[in-house]
Amino acid sequence: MNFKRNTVLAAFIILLLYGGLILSLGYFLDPQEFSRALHSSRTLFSIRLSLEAATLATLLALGLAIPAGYALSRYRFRGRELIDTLLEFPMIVSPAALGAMLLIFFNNPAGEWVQEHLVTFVFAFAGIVLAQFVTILGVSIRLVKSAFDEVPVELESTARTLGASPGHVLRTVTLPLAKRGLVAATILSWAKALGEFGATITVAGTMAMRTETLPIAIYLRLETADIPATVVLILILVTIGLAALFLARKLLGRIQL
Amino acid sequence: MMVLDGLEAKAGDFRLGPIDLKLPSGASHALLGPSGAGKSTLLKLLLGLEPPSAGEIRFRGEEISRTPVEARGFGYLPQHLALFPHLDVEANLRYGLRARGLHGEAYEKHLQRLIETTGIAPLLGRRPETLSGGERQRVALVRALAPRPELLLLDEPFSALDPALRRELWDLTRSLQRLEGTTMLLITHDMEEAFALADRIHLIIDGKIRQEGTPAELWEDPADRESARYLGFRNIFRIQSFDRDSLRVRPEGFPEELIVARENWPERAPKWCAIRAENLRFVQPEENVPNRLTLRAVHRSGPGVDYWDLYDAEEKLLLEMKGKAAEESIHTKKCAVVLPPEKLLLFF
Repeated sequence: MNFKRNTVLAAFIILLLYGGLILSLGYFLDPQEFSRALHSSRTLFSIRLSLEAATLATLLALGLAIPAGYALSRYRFRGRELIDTLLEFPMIVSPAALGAMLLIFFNNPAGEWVQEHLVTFVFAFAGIVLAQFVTILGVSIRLVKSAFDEVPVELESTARTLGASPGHVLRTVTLPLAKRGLVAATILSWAKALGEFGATITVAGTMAMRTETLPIAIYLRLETADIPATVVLILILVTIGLAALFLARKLLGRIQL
Repeated sequence: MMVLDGLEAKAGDFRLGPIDLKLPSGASHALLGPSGAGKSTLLKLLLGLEPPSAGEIRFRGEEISRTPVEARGFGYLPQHLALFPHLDVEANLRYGLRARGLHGEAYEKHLQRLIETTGIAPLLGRRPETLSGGERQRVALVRALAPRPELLLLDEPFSALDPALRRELWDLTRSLQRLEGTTMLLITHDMEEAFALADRIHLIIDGKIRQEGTPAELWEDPADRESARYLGFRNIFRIQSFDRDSLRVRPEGFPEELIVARENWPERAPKWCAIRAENLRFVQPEENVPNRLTLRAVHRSGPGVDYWDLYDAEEKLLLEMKGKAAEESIHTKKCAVVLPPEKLLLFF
């Protein structure tokens, strides 16, 4: 029993750690300041910018993750192992390094051409989306692949013997059965994009009312020692993020309350 | 008619074929073989899930080895049945009709007749996970037959059922196959299942078709030692010496020579002789008949199967026997047995 008790205790330390950190925000929480900061146009801009960029980055990531995740789940092809390993690349490289790599790319002739002729990324909204996209892509593909792995291949091959084309099988069998996993993958990718800081600040900078996402806003307020405003912004980010995570868990059917 | 012509495939180190096979229309066939023989690989080629590395598959004269799965129009009953869990029974049954765009009264009547014959009408609104094993089998069978396929492929779909239910479903499958006139190919490792369901059995071992014939032909006359072993022969003995003129062989360890009634004795030396347990006959110890052996001990190894020691054998030699006669002999101590010459097989 001691073994079980100790392991459960370790699990509760997680709750104590993160729960304690969230609760400790209350020490600096001033209701008046909360209302003021929440209604300031700068905060509202940050919230809107964060939601828009995270949503766009997630949609772009899923646009690539769904076909790529399907290929990695279903087919054996040359280079598959390498691609599968690279999915962890954004996780092992620091986000700041990832952002720096993007900046370096845009200072190369190829990157400069892209900036001049296609889209301006550096210090721009597109830069935020790109930074978030690059950061979440690996995890998006990993989650989408897991969702497809859950659907037995035998169901797809049987559907095809019944006369369904691969596209029809995807629409009528694979996607409906992978739906919960795919929705969860979307939410988790979105939550990760929402909280992205390192790559975003490196590529898009810290321009108020322009590239100031919620995490960057928190950083800027903290830098000026505006603790009450920092607390408000953290609480907003935490609320949105936790709501997304709980929704994802509920969709995965693993929630135990 | 389905014709496989020099069909080959590779799966890792395993090589299938070359396979030459003819499946006449309307008949029920079984591809029988042990695990790892290449049955699943061959099935994938037939379904179109994998391309062959060489050879052709012709169906009604048309070469189809590169035709996509959905365009082949074969019915398929997979091992785990693969009912779509997100659809109810009726939507499962209609999946093939919708995917192929098959509408009209003829298909509707056909589907209703299948539902009626299999007794699954009360299940139509239910989800697959609420069905019993037998109900799932019936639903999967009707789903495969609903688009009226000309060829139905079954991949050991009955293996997870209890023996009584399996027999019931064998009968149902067989009667549906006859009723529909569908050509059927059952993939199985289970000899009993193949014998119950097939008009013709194709025995596959190590990626090659070793023998094909009616169940009776395979039962009586396996092509080689491995086939015999797979088809249930346990009494297989290595031949130590032989005399072609007097039609005699002496298996290793046997006290005396055995007479073999075989008309066509090839030039090659026989390597093995074999006899089915069911073909051994018990006799009085004093009875004077050819190939009579005296026995000394019995080892029980399950209902209806006994192993007997040969009395005069150089080493301990076991004969497998089956049936009531074996049972009686234990009690009456009539410990002599005859290996009828006409039932003794030779493998070269």
